[in-house]
Amino acid sequence: MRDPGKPVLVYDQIEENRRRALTLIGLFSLISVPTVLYAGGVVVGLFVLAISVRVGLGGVPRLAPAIPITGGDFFGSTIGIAILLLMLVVAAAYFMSADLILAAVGARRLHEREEPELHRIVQNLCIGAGLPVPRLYVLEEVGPNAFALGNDPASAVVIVTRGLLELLDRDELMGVIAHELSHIGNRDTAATSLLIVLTGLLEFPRNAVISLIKGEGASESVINASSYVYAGFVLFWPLIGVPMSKLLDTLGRDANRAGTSVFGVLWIAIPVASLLHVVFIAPLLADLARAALSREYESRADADAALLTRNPQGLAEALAKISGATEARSLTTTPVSQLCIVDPVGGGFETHPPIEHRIATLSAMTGGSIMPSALEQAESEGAEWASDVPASAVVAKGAFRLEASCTLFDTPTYAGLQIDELQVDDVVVLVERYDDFFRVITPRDTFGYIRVSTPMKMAADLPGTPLSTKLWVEPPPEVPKRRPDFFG
Amino acid sequence: MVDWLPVLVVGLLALILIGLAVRYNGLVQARVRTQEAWSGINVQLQRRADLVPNLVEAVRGYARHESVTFEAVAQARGSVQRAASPVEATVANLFLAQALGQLFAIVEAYPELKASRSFAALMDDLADIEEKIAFARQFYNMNVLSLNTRIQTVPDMFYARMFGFSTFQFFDADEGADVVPHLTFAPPVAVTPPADVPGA
Repeated sequence: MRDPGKPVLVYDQIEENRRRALTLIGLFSLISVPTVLYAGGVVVGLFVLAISVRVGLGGVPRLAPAIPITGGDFFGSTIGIAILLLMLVVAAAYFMSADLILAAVGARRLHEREEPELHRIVQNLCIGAGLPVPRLYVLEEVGPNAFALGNDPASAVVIVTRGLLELLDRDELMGVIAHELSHIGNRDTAATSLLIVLTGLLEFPRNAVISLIKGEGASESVINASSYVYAGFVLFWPLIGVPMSKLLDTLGRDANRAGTSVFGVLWIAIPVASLLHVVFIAPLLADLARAALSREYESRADADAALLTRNPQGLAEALAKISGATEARSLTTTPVSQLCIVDPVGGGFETHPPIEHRIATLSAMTGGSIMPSALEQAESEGAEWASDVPASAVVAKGAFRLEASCTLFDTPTYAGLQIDELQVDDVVVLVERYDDFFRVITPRDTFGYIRVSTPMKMAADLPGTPLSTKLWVEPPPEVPKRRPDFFG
Repeated sequence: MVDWLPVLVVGLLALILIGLAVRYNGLVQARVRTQEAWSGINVQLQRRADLVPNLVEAVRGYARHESVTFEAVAQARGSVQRAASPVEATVANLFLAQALGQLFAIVEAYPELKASRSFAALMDDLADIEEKIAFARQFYNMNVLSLNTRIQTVPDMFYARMFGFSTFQFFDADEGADVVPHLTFAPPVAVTPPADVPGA
């Protein structure tokens, strides 16, 4: 780990990270070579078997099962095909990952008129970090969290949850955003998307075997069914196929030759070893390497954020608040968990350093000037917030029953026209949130905006399912740039 | 039989030349980035100067007779916009900051001006630009830190001397830092409505 007090310029960091990423790719390639050969061997072996059965060639059972290990002419083409396939998959996943993840978690683009303070923070910090301003997305989630995506700063994306915007004050939000911008500047986001893809690839055989053993999946979907078939071959190919082929091979020749027993052992040992590697060791190594690297990225981003904001206390308090609000942590989408400011799910190999450790490091950067009481207070504030989050304030979708009458506006501003009065016990459907307003569908089937602070309860007893938020993603209507002014 | 000595000498020379070129390019890049970071500060300072007329107009509506101060502010702003060299710009901005300080001293005497919506919005913008200026300076200083460290350490030290690279000044003059804190405004965004009736 680097000395956190030492300032590091983004440009130099990028160079360092590029080298690191290359080392990492090398390491992962080493881990994945057997997996690739193995998978390729199985596929090509099957192919040959299928053709030979069709054509009705004799002697093929002897040839085909040996392909993963020897296979003569087939071996070269197997490697070629497998590596090509792997490169294609990795490249596709790498370049599409940001959009894929955005779509998968259901994030919505934050319009510039929404959350002006957040936009301001991001713009100003980008000036300090020398980065282009990333696109901002919001996730309508209770769990306070944030993460960054994108393979290069120009196409980077920062995603924050609604819970984060609700929970943190300006300084704390600044610390979190600076942490995410550091990830972008350090190219951690690019390395992480690559890691996610590679780890997923390496873990595929293990997960396939697990699903086979558990007996699930054979009928559930095409993917599950194919992994079922794949796992069957992964397991039984070397254990049965290869020794069988060797048996056939030796039966055909002089069984009493001296070298045969040695070859016989190798014929069994190599496939078994490679099976162990592919199913157990490679996924484990991949997991460990990914977690170790992720932890290093996190502590470095913390240090860089402290340097950028010149205020480690903001991030420290944000972390304390978020750790206090564990009750509200709910971002369970596993592929992004290692990208988040705090690990939303936990378990498995830790992808983040322990939160107390991170806070202590940040505190050390200020020379210990952060009062422990301030951190404790932040933590209890987080806990208090989490125990009493008004569902409507963060969920922003579904049917709610009003507990007080309120005014319906035509735009998400206090200066908007009042188009209706809603009564107690009216049921509204929350569609989307814009700053201090919800866009709602009223009992009279009209659209409008009501204030977020309107007391209401989720109407769980209603039949039917809430509408999907994805149907209304257009920006809010243009409103004149005015500030609410109720006092003069 | 190949004579290896000339090959070796030429190869070594080529390597040294390539190394030198790479180092030199790196230094030039660092210098250009530092200059760019400096111009980043100027962009923000210019934005602050652009905000001044609106600010003056807002104050003039309440305090017509303070024309001496308005004149000083207008002049300071003009010199910021005319400034051709970095030194001129720094001095001009110093004067502008002082003039703005006087302007805000006037504001303190007019509570209804402080409470007015348009003025609060302007102050909000000004606070934002001040923060942008601070970050632009920080970025410049980070670049200077990197460049100066390279220029003063082995091996770049030798190239820097050879090609006449000189260190940059850190931006540590805290001009204008006293402009905003003088004011005792609550941030206007924090205003919450007292009743259901909008815009009353």
